[in-house]
Amino acid sequence: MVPNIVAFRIDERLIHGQGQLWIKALGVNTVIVANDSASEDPMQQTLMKAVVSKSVAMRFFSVQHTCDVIMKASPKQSIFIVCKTAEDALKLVAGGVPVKEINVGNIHRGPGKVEISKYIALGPEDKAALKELRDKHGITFNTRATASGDDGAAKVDLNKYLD
Amino acid sequence: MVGIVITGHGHFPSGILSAVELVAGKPDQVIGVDFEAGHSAHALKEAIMAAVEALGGDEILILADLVGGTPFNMAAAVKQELTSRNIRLLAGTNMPAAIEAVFSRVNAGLDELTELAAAAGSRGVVDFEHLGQDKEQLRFEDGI
Repeated sequence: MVPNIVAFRIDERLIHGQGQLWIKALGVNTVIVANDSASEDPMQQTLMKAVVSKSVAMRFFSVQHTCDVIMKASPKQSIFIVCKTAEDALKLVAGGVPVKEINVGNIHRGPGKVEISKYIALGPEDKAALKELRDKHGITFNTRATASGDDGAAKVDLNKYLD
Repeated sequence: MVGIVITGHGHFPSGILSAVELVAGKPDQVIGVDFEAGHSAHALKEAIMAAVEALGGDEILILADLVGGTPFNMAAAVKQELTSRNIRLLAGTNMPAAIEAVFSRVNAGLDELTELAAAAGSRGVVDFEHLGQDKEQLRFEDGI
């Protein structure tokens, strides 16, 4: 049974204001926050749960645990997975999380990173991970920052920056 | 789709719009009308009227900052005068109310949208001390 993963997003802030609207727009009933630090941090979990409706199941799994259990999802679960970095996304996909498309939401600026939109800045490690996702795992990317509306980020073609 | 006018004191309207844009994307059919120092109430009313007229569609939700404040009062006057349009008016607008209003327009007509925005605004005022007390978690049998 292939789990029903409705969307997979990379967002440095995991679930926050924008994420809340993604969940609403997608109409999913399960959110998996695949992040090692959040899976062990009750404070982060509390804050993320606060922005999400109680009718949505929130799961805080480590990246490895996500890979271990994802195939056991119930057919009743429609799932939104969010992870923090392109490297974690690669670990998840390489570890067996079945997705074809990844939404690259927020990757923040930092030293040595090249800004490609107002939401996304890529460093060498991001590029390497995204390139491997694309070339080895056949993943396609979209860069919509928000679930609806014109945020100016949707038109960026990530592939241009991966060669 | 319901058109939305946000009005309030100072740069509250343009400010809250920039915040909404950051989390929800740039919304269509939303106009902010700032009431800045030195502007007359009459000029504000004209500006709200112009905003309502600039929005297509018959249904308009006006989100004002303070009940009884000039932006709210002028919006009320516009609602009274423009009887050809179906206008609802809320005060006490905050981010949760504004996001709800912008976001739920896809499915909701004016009356429902007004209720949803008001409810989201109230629900959105939260004391950090009360967060995380609800330990209940939605479970799926045979799931994860």
